[in-house]
Amino acid sequence: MNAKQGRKASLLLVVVMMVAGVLSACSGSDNGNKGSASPSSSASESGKPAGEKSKVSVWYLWGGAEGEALEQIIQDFNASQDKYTVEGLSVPDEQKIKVAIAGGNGPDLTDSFDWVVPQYAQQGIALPLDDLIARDGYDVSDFIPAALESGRFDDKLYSLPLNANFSIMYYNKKLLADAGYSEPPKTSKELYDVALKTTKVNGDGSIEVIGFPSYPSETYLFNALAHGFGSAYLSEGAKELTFNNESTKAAMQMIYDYNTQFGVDNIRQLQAAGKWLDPTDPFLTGKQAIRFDGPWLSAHIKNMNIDVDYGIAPLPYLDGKPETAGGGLVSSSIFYIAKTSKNVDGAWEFMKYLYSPEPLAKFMSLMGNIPATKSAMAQPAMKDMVDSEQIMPLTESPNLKSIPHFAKRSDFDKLLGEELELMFNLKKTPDETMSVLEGKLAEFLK
Amino acid sequence: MKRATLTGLLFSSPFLIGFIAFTLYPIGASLVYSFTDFNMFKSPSWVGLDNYRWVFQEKDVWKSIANTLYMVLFATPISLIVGLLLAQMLNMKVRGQSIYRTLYYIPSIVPAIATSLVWMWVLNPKSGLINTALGYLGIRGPNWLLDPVWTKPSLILMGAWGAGGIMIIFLASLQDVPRSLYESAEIDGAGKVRKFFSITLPSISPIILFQLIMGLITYFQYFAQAFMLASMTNSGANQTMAGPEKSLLFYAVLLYREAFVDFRMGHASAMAWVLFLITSIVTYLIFRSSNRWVTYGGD
Repeated sequence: MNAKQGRKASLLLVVVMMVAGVLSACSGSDNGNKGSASPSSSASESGKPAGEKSKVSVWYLWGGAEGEALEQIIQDFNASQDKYTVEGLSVPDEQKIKVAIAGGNGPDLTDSFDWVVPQYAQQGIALPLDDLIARDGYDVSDFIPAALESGRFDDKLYSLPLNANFSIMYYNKKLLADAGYSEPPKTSKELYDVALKTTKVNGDGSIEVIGFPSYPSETYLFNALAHGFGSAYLSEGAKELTFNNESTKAAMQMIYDYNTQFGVDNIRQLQAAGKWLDPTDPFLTGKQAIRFDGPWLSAHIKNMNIDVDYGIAPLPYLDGKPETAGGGLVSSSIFYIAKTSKNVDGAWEFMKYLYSPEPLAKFMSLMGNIPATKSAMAQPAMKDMVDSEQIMPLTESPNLKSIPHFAKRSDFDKLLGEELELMFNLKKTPDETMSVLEGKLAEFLK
Repeated sequence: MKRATLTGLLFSSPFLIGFIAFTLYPIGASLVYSFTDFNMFKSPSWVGLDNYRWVFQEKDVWKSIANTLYMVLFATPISLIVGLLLAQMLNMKVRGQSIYRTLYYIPSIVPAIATSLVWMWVLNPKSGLINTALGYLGIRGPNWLLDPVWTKPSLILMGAWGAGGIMIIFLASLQDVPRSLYESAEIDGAGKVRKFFSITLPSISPIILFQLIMGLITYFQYFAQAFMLASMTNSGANQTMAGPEKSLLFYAVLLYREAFVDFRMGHASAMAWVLFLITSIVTYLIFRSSNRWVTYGGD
């Protein structure tokens, strides 16, 4: 009897400890990050003996060649002055960066994407730059206006844009020629025709060559397709939902039709077969005829010595609406100073250096990105960017748009993704999806 | 205080301090935060029961509970049965048994993250081991990790592969079953199956109870593998971490997402306490029922 009780008791103890694990794992820490750093009083700088450099820690999401490109800029900066030493660190996990910032042990400066700005501004992760800009009389007019605005939320500027990213159309010349096309598709109708004719299917229905830009994913494709067709999800200033328009509907219908014709299972199988921008990527193995991707694809193809005969063209416009040609969705990579930075001045100094014409052009050309400042675009270094003579003219299109910021942007994106996924998987028709989205998305604008 | 008590406390202080600072205090803190709106950057503000109301009203929470129960109901018994069957096999007297024991145990010491990465390759619908093997048989395998119907079975498969920890405890307990019971059963003419159900199972029932409860707790808190598979997609990191059609959105994954992606610590803390209550109740019910099916024989 005693043994039984003893065993039960010890088992109970183990159970309690294990269950306790879940509770202790998810409690936050509130260790001293309430004091917000102000531009003029950075802790680590004061109290340093004269002549000693103060440290600035810069964490970045990039790795590989892109990370090395930034490290080059960091080295240049460290050699250019003797007040600060920037230490770069590749941290490809954004959650980790945010949690580190929250705990006060994060970087002084770090990067992300413009769509996080509303969230980071509201959560107090990013430091507004307005005071620093005003103090130094920093000229922001060099930035492409739309890209600069992507850092603004509630009349404060939280970040500066690094680049202007938008999808362009890559096409495999050989696959198109085999199907009888000497030119890339210009309209939505031509795009779908090419997609149908270049898609090659095996006996069991699996896809050998995919003609449609479904790779890497339909989620990735949808925004580019809809904006290329001339859609805008929101009116200026995010006042009204304008998602339900013929361009969005055409994009939804086209993906739905393609998936219906070739089978969701077959498309998923192909998507799983290769890794994005890796030598197994179907476009790089010559198994994708049309691809929507950023200009970095050119840089990857060159860096990895991939042998694929490709061409570059603007995204197709909606059939019958040539005035929307050259459209697309613009987004930016950004740098922001962490709210808990211990060296705001140092972070800002490095930021100013990074965004000056030569370093930015050097960094962006190495990454195969279009820089977000006019002066960097005009730098001779940009000529070294792979395919720059084809890509740069596309940046001048007046039909490139960005999604204006609003408080519930992340909830909006989440719901849009969830509902579209059901349609991509043919669980809902485009009409059903549109009626759900129209009602629910509008809620997030209030 | 007695000198002996003080010495005892001093000796146990490394544990006590660690337990208080890293377990007890955070548990208390999470209870407080569960009644506040707190994002780690701004100071918490009291919101009463709002977070608990959110837990019961949010559709994603219910989705995550359904996904989690799927794992609890299917993965727990399957991993137990696989573990027990393996232990039975490894308890036989065959040549090179220690090699087999090692081989079957190895997967369970591979870290969850490494396991997930290996399985992402094994389950690749085009070039993976399983679908290639099925292809030789003329069967086209499913899109394991990309098809919402197959994602959870994939995880159960992974779990069964890593059942070595369960197996080793069963193996130890099997070797503890008194030989004399088998011998007398054999004299009475009992067959293998009869011996298994009438002697082996009752003899190891306390261990089954232990493993059952541990398994339930593990699957209620199921996180690492699902998190890996849902966030590491071929086209880069996925912030929703939910998998195809939210089929991998488990309770602990949603809790993590609320806490560390959306920084809604109040929601996350309330979810943790609700999970604590659910797990406690289920554990209590199993303990209650154990009087009927667990037998504690003499040592």
